[in-house]
Amino acid sequence: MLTVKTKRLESARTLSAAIRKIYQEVWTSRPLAWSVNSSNPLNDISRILGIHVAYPENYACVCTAQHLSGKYCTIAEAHNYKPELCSYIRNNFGYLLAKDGNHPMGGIPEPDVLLSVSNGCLNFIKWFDALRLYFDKPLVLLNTPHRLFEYDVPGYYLEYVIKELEICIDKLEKISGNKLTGRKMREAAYYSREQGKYWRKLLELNKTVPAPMNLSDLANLIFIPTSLSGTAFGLDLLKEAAAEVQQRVRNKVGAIPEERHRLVMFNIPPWYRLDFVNRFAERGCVFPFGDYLRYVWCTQDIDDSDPMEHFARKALSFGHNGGYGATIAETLYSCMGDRLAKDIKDFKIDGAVIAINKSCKIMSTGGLDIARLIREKFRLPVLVIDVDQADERTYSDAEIKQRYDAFFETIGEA
Amino acid sequence: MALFAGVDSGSTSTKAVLLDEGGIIIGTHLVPSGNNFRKSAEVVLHTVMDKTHSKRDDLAAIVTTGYGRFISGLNSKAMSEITCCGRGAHYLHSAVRTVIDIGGQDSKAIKIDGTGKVVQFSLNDKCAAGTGRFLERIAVSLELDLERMAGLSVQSQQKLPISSTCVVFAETEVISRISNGEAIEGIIKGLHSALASRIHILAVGLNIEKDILVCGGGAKNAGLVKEIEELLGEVVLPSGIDPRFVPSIGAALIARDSQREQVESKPGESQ
Repeated sequence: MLTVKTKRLESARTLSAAIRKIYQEVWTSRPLAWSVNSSNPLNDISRILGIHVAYPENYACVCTAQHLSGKYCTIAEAHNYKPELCSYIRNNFGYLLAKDGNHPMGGIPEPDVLLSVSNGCLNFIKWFDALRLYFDKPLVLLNTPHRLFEYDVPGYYLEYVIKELEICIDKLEKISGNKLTGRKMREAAYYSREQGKYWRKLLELNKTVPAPMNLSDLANLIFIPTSLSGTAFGLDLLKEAAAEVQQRVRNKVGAIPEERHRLVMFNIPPWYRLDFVNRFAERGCVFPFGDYLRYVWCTQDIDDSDPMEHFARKALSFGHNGGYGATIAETLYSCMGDRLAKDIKDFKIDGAVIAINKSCKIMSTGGLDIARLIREKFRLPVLVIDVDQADERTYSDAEIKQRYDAFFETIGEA
Repeated sequence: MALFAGVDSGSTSTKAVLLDEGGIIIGTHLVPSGNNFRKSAEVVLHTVMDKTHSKRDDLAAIVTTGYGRFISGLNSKAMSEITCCGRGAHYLHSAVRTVIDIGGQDSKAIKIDGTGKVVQFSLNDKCAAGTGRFLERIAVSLELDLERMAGLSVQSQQKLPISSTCVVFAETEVISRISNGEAIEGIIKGLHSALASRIHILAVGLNIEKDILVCGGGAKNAGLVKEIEELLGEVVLPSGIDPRFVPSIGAALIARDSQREQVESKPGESQ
């Protein structure tokens, strides 16, 4: 029986209500796009053009949090979507192929267009191509190069992505029947940049002891800069959250009652067990930070004076704004180690939880190297767990509990 | 005389160790866990008390460990096997800095300090290929007991690689090799090598130090221990006691510590 809980932000409640409203509104909104939300500027631009956007990836998290991943993944696998595929994809196709029609928040309506981007997750391309075939609707794909090394965006990358954006905009204008105006582009770029500013402010505030937010708060709030990017509404929500968190800092209110350990979490959290943070809270452990939060575009300031360049740079920033994984060993132990060292120092981290998540190869690559790095270089305790992000069937409570307990005993919290 | 018990409710067997106040092991017992952890814990504790002619009233504290630690039904404190294993290994061999525990359900590499406290640990992932269950399953297919398998492995001059890391596919591979007329000793040696390589991966991730103690049911298998030594260098085995008792020794020691702490924190009541 868990008795200690994370003190939830009031603004998280506002956000939950906003998300429910968004899912209701999409049923009466046309044209509707299904899109990916990883630093995808096509979302910002589509909204300016009057195209509404829904996110099957986010919806997979919603279904998973409501413990439907087992049902949906099983249905998808019965239709030959193999277990090796990302569980977000299997949740999505399981939802589409389920016969009963009884879905969380009423489901999401069929799209008129599909939007994707090739900046990070390789699944986004094939998943959305499969959706294109499934719905027989157009796919607008923003093709971007992958950035693997720690250097500034080369000019030719930028030129290429701007050209790609122009092609995508042309297609989106035809679908929406509207023309993009310079004023609206400037507004969207401004809101996008401002959202980044407030997101960074939230992270900065969480360096305080006690941490005003736990990982579960951050995992909820990340919905704003990823899924409501480029909107005034999203900016207002972030401002509200930042004001509340600022107040907590001023009043020295922590996210958990007694903070004794500050841990960093690596990889995507298991959405069906987001309450795992409460198990840690019971032992005085808070998560002020996670590398998952580094994979979003807004951990860096992207100039908005030229909106097209802002959106191109945003697309090129995915997974590169300080993500620790998905890098070769050399990068891991040099720049990534330095970045990690800074975060460990800034967030006053004294332990790590590393999830190995078979659904996300990108985020799991290098996980064990990071574990070793933290153990050897920073001399901090590390807990490694096997948890899929959105396939609850793979979760073994006894196994995970054994690892948690051993970790707590190691840090003197038996 | 106050006594302290450690009960390890493992997936295959339930073990009990009884310690006296001086930390001397006065009795051990092991029973199959079966499907009722509560019952097996009661039986094993009752039997070890009987064997040592001890009275239940003398039992000052009990610590339970293993997968069944929360349902043992005893009036006890629960601790993870990892902590107990570290403590038990240090008790048996104070120079140990790494413990490799090969159990039925999982395998662990545990790095400990000079007091037996766990510094780091690593467990096998969800796959059974890194556990004792792997060998148990293959033993059934080969119609051999584990002891016989160990003997054949040690004698074999040949090691036939088993490439699969999945226990079910490995079984298929073994059957295929047998049907091709390949030497059973070489196949078994290959199996032990495959399991040892999984354990090696766990251990090297911790940048382990010597001495290395191997315990759990896997430590009783000379063929497997030999393969582990090929990868990790010389290891030590628990001396004078069944290697499956290491976590329950640690649990009994922790029971003794917790009782001492209680006495120290309430000096007035201890008079």
